[in-house]
Amino acid sequence: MRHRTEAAVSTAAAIVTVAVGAVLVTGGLCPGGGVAHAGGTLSVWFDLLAAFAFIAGGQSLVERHMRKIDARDEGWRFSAVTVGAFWTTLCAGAFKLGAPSWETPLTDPQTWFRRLTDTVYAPVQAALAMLAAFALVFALHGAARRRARALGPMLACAACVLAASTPIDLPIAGREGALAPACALAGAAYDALAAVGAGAQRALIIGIAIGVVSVSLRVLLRLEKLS
Amino acid sequence: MKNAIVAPTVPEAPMLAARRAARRSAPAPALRDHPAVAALLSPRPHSALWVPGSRDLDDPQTLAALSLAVSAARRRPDASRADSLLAPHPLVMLAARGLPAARADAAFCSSDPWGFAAAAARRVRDERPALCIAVGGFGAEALLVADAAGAARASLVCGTADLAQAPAFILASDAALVGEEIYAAPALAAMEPRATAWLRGHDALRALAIATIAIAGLADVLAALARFPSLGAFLGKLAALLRSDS
Repeated sequence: MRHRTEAAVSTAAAIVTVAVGAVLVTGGLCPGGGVAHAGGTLSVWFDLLAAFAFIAGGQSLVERHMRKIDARDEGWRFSAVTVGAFWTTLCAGAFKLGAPSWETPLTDPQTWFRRLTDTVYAPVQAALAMLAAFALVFALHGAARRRARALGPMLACAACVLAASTPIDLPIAGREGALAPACALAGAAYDALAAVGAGAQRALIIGIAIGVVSVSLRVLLRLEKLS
Repeated sequence: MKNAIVAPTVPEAPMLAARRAARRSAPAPALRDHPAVAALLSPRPHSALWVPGSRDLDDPQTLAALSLAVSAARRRPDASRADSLLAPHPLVMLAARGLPAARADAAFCSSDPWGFAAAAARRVRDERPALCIAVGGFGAEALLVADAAGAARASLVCGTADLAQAPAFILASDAALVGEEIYAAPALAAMEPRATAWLRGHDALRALAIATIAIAGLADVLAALARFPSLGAFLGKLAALLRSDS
């Protein structure tokens, strides 16, 4: 019985996938028609369904962190902050706390949700972006140390691009245009790199486009079963 | 003995048959031994952590990453049973939990790319997996995951079709899938006749695209050439154009 139910659900999912995929592809190929409009509506439905997935996502997040707090694992205090922030934001948004009436939009400055966004979320995100810049530099440094051989050609290319795109015509030791030959050489190298790079990028983009079409078709025709 | 009518069979030339069989089953030699696919399928005593990009399920790269996870799990069900997956979006988590080759431990942490990368890096440091597979659509945040994998001495297999991110992945990983390779990798890992056929289809389409571009370019040059009285005049004009450009 369970087997038959699963098979029925799988068949229904296949029919929906193929039908929606056909509408979206047709809408993309024939813009402006009724099919394109239907494709837009279906995309909105997808967003609505995706919103329900956040319930499962929230459950997974809370479950994982609660387990960590319960076991007093390393970093459980961070987990406590995460769970606390999750519930506070959820309650502030779901019950529209602080709003004068239920019709007031969530983005109104009087709502707790907006206040939390402005006073906590935005500053924390800005600080994180700044810290991320430092973290990236260290990460790149670590990667470069581990794979010094691959770094050589990359640094050489970067040096060429830097030298060619920086106007260095300052007089050195009283000589006008002392660096002109070096700049001309870097410029020629940059042109050669740009030509080779453009060709390689186009080749990659052609391959990627074919790959995207292939994966999309495999999913739409249910040859690739991801659910 | 009854007079049975036996249809005469024509034996196929052995060399031809062998060549046909090889053509049917084997992908292109350059791709067959891809180090990233070999790393995915190699025997390993410990679990692996999958990080399928920091994008939603509507990104083809995320689909390709999930497809690769399915192919690897089908080929090595024993090794893949203990693997875990960190999803950048609840939909990706649900899709991963429903994969045909069941992946029990799929968790969602954050849909913000930096938050997701930080959570993935933390998990790599905590769990110390033997293999970390970061394949999918990434931005600069992927370097955090790569750095954590390097610090935890985990093997790192990376893959992305984002051209801006590819150099960082090549630099940071043990084996990298670049560009279209992430779409071909599931077929390479599966090594089934149908997957091989898809690969051959990719190659044929690419050859068609290259041929079209080459023919169109040649036709353009010929059309330009036809407007000049002689080849010398055309080359002279071309040289003048190049000089004025430089």
